[in-house]
Amino acid sequence: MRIKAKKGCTNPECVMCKKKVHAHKEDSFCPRCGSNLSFVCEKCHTVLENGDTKLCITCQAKKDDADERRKKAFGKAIGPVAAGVSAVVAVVVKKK
Amino acid sequence: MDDIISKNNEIDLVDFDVEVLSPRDPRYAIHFLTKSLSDKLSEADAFAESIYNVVIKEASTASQIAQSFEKGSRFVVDMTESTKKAIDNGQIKLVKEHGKLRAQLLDSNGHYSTKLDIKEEFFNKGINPVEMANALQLKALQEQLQGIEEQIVMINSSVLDVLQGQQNDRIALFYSGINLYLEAQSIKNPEMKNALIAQAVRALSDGTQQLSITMESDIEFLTTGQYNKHRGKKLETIHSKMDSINKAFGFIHQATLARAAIYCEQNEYLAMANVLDEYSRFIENTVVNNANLLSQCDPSDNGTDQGLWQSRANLKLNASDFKKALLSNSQEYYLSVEGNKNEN
Repeated sequence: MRIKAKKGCTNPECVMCKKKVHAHKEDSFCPRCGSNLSFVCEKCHTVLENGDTKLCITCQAKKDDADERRKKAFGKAIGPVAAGVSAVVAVVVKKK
Repeated sequence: MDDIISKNNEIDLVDFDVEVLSPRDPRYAIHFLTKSLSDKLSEADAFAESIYNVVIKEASTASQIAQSFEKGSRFVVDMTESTKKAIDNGQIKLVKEHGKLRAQLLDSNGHYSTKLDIKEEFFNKGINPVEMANALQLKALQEQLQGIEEQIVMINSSVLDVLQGQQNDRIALFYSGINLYLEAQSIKNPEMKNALIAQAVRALSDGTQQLSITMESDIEFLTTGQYNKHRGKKLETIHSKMDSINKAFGFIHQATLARAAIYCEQNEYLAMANVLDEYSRFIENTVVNNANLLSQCDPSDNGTDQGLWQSRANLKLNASDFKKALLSNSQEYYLSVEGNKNEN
């Protein structure tokens, strides 16, 4: 399994946890408080069970929804332009 | 009433009267259980104290200990052996003379004997041997019981928020159970009362089972990633499932506490232990195995040990130990009374 997730301190008293600072992948203990480091979500710092994903389920879903919206918006924007271009091409072809 | 829950979401169980709280209030079940437990424990304390006093007082006249288990007062006639024999054949007439109660024996000729002094002797608070055994059993297991209670109170604070204003048919079973039990309290006919209590427990149990199935299927929906099919609405789907899971968990918790409280009030401690043991196993199978996934899906959780789902997963009721102790045949009760006790 390829480790994708970042590590972070999950001690709620520690500054590294409060500021959601990521640690080095090779580290096992927090350089500030010495507690065990865990795999955490890259965005929200939620603890992840294993390191095979970068994001937690919620952040991944948020990202996927945003991508989907972007795709739809792109489709809406590009749709009339494409239709216009194809109409012009059709007229040109007809004249020839 | 909002001041019962402090800013830290901790419940003040001391200054609280369960009778003023509506059964629809999310705090009802926990207060019902804690009140039942504390009532039974203080009953056990009172029993222990009264037994101690009886033993101290009656130690010299061991033959009279059995009599001291009866409730009330008795009249003792001071008489000689010869007059005792007369009682067997005659009748006793009680007369009041100068404000004092005296007895007269009726002989075979229809004549009354000399008047005998009667002194009224009060004995200790009445003790019902069955209640005493139950109370002492509970007293012996007080420490374990308090451990269970602490754990329940801790988890209860996390379910209160989601319970306000939630309604559906399964939740209606919970309210039905509570209301049936409250109604049963006011019924005098013992058969009808027992039938209503049984129905109340049944409604609570049915509600718990239905909600458990709902919660398990919602968790399965998340573990199998079925939310991925809802393109563009993944987050919304996850949140709606988490809302349903939180709601179901809250009511399973409430219904379990209510059932345990009913059994506790009916002195059915083994049944109470079974309910708590079942709840403990439900948490182990449903929450513990999926705690990380649930914390990832719950926006109010960060997945640490102090987080919502990990703390729920850490719930250890030790109800099986309590059950074993209840089932153990060789039980010894040690009586101890603290402070100065009034000997009657």
